[in-house]
Amino acid sequence: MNSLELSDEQIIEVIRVENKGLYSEIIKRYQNKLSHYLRKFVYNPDELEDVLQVIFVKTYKNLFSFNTNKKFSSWIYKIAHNEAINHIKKNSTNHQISLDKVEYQIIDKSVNLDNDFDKILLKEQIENSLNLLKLKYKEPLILFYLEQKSYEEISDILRIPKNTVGTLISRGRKILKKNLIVNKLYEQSKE
Amino acid sequence: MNNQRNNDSMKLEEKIMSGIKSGQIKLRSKYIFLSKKLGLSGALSLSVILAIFFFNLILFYMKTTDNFIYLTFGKNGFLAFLESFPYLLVIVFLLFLLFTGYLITKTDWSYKKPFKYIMLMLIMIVLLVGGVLASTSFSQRIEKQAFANRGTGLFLKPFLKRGMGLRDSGLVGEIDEIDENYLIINTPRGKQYLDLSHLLSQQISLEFEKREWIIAIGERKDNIFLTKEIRLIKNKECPMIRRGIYIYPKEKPMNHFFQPNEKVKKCLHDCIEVNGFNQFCFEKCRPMK
Repeated sequence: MNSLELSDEQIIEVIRVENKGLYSEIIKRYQNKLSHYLRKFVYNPDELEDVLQVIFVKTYKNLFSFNTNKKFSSWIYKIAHNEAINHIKKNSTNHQISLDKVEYQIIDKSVNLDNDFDKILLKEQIENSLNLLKLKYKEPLILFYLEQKSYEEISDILRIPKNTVGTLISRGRKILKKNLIVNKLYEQSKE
Repeated sequence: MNNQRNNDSMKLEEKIMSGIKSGQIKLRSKYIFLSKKLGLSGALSLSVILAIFFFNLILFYMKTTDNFIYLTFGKNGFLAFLESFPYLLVIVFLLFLLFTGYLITKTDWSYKKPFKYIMLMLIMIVLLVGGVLASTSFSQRIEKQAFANRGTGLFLKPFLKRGMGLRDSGLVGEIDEIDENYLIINTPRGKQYLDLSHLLSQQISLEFEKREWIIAIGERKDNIFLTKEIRLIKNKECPMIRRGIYIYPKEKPMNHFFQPNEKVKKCLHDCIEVNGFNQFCFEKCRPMK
């Protein structure tokens, strides 16, 4: 059977039992997704590659601890999340999140600013405001809006109850909107 | 830019795959994870069972000793209540409850519900099952084993022996000798002398009979218990202390107690008549070894 037709969970079963080489398929499937996610926490490209490597090695070593009845993507994102947290703890320096065009449009739409903002200014301000958010709000917001994960998946990745995911996203969105409005008023007063 | 990214991706994939093929990166054995999982489940089950068991012992202790009865004396009995409280049992119970909570956080499912709900549920289960267990004869069997120094109960003796211990501000026992100013009562720790001359005025008219059971609060001074309040207790109260006197091999009596024979009793009586109820009489009448 072609490995492209197999689900992640089926691939993991094959890797465990007979074909370890198939792990390259997992790397191919998740390398870009994970580096996209990690970029919100790890800003230096070299460090990002190191973190990514650690994630794939840890994932491989612990494949037998994965329950194939559950979703593999949530499991590998959980490992990535833990590594991102470890990285943040080790490197406490404050860096600036850099959103691409699509990402900032998603955030713009989600906080619903009613086109009050100058779009050029908005991207920068969203980046600033997202950076100012506490990690507990930032993580679910990024996973929900930018990684397109469901509440269930976010609950599995962050190991928090599903209801709490909803609460954190809703609160995070409100804080983000408030920060953006305050920023805008500040900019206007300067003018 | 895209080419650079693709190259980086290829490099990472190659690096990891060559590590896997060369055997530098190995899969951890499934037995490691299996044993971890079994260990966690086992420890969690054991911890819950022990929390239930110790809660059952707390209830049993309170039901069968003098601990709670001291509260019926109002604030005067509070000191005796604190003195007879089963601290060790409660501390061990709380430690097992906390340990269970800690182990729950290590499971795969704990994050699905808020931790406070899980703990609330756990506490409810422990209290319910512990309560049901306390209403059976299970704890009494443990108590028998503990005081007969055999079986698993032996390890629990340090937790239960406080129930029959000697207290400085409270006393329970069976009346053995009655005098105008004092009582001699049987307790699991040998005979005890109660000075009744310090009784509150409304209690002076109380009358006692031999073999009746009393509970008293007051203050211990050397070998004598200076009684402030005293009352009779019902047949079913303090069963552990009753068993302590008649069923179990005697607990080693405290050094300063002695078993009075007729000669000693007469000496005591005469001395008290002349000198009043005091320590001097007990020292004077103590039989020589």
